[in-house]
Amino acid sequence: MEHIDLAALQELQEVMEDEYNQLVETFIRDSEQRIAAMDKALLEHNAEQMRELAHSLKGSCLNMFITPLAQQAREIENLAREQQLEPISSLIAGLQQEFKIVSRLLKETLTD
Amino acid sequence: MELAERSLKILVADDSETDRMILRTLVQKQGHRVVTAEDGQQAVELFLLERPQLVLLDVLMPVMSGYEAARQIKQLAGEELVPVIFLTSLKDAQSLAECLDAGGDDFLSKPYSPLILQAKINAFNRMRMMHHTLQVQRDKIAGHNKRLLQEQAFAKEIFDKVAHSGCLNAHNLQHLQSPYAMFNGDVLIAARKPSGGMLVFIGDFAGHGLPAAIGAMPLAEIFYHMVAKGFSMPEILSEVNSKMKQVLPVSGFCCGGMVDVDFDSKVMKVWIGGLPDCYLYRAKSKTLDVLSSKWLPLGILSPDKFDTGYEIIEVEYGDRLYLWSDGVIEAQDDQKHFFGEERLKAVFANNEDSDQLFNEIKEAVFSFIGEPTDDLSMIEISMVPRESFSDKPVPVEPSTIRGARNWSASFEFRPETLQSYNPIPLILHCLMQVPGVNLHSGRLYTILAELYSNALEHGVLGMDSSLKASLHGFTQYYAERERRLQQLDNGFIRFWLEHKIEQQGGVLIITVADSGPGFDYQKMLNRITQDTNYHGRGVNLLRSFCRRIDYSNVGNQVTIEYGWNNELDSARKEHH
Repeated sequence: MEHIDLAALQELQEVMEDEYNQLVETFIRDSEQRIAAMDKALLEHNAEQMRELAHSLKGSCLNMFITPLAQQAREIENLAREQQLEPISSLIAGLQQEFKIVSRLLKETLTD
Repeated sequence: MELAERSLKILVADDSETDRMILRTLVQKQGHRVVTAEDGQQAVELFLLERPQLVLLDVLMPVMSGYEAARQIKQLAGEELVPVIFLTSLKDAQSLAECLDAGGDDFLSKPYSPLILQAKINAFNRMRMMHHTLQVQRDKIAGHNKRLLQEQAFAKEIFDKVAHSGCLNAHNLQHLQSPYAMFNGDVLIAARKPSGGMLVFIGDFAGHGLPAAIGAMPLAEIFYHMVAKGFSMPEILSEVNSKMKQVLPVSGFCCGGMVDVDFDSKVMKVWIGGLPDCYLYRAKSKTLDVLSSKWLPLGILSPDKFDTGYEIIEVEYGDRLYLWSDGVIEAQDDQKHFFGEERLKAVFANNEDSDQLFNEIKEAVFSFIGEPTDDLSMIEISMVPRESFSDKPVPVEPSTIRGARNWSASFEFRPETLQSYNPIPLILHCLMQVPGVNLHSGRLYTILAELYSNALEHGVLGMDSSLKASLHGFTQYYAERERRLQQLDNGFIRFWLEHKIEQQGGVLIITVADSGPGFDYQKMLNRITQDTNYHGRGVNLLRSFCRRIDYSNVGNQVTIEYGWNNELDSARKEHH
């Protein structure tokens, strides 16, 4: 599966017009913060916090047509809901990997 | 709030900034105004402040969840429909059900599709406007209903004044009519006649509601006025029929029964037009006579075709006549069964104390249908001795003209008139012009009626009053009287009225002459003094009312003198 549905993102870009750049920048900034906070929640064994962060990340990814990352976030959310923090640590590494790719692809769509 | 406007104010609540940005842009592009909140608490506060017409709510938000925010917003919206659409990436049934339980109206799943968003906003806007229209119409209907009830209460007040000025509470009557039965077109009225008798009418107008009820007003007016002026039952029925024919729509009519109760002769004259069978309960034999409708309801026939007949029924003290609207036998239980004649007759058959009959019928009907109804009227008329009434004079309405003070007049009534017209109300009306005579209308009516029927029956028609004394005498007597009257081709009755003022009142001198051969009045006067059972008690009554009674010529002319004292009258009035 593509990291991002670029055709759909293209449509969103047309809808957002001038605000598109700001949207992408906000998404990258918020997502960085969330992923960092997920690391912290893992250290603190805060499953509830983990679930909320994963949920929010999933929601905003879906709206940006970033489906694989959203799916990874959903897996983490589901595990966190069941208080299973152990398997999450390995998933977060994959999440960070995927996010780097998505960030790069998104930045390429920015206009001057 | 501009309802028709297609541009709405929409509240978007989402804790994720990118989601907010996307949704705000999508909604704005579709021509709506957007206010945004970052959590549930803010959403509720903004709702109060901005009163948006539609709310888009994320489910999981910090501070206050979307569920709780939806609950509070729905409560704050009150009766107005504010659609709440949940924004969700949740897919499991449990979570979606929770959204609906919290008062949510729909979902919008991520990623947002502009097309679906637009379709949902439009659909909910239509629903919102429809809901608003419904509310406005509901309020309008509630308002109309309230006004209708006020108008009914007002109409009832007027109706009660007109219809219940009579003697429905007399001790020989028992009646059942719920306060609002008039709005089903039921009428129940009764009045004492100037002669001491009583007229009762029960009516049931075709149809329901105000159109059926409205005819009761003129009917009651005519009834009370004509009874007070001394008109007879056929004359009143005839007048009511003409009036109903005139005022009711073509399909309108009034089923009814009228009873003229004569406490002296123990006779009930009964006219039934279109009512269900009425029952006469004979106390002595404990049997029922069934009286069926023999005439058409009022308001159907034109005046020239209306038949003013009636049945003459001789009864005893304690006998009871029952008249009812069709609401009695047609009363239905919850299985739609009719109460019916058999159950009604069973009440009579099982009765042990006839004083309880009326209550037993009432209870039988009510326990059959399970609850009281507005669609049921009935009345029981008992034959009682005249003396059981504490009779007070029934004053005829005083004429507004402060009347004639010193005058005389004469009338002559010839065969065609005698056959079809009762001149007593005309003469009484004439006498009522005299100031102070008002309180004497009952006595004057009795005097005039007695003089007139003597002149007509014994004078002009040459009837022998001994006929009356025989078994079934009254029925035979009236039939013979009617036969002779229809064959009458010559003869007359003359009235001379003379009024003079006296110091504290006045005197009326009334002379009645007829074309008959006369009679031996001296012999009659002798018999009266010797034999108190003699049937000339009418003359006794005259003697007790009048200052003098003189017979002249060969006995076909009688003069009476009736005097009164105004000061005595007003003293007596205050005493009452």
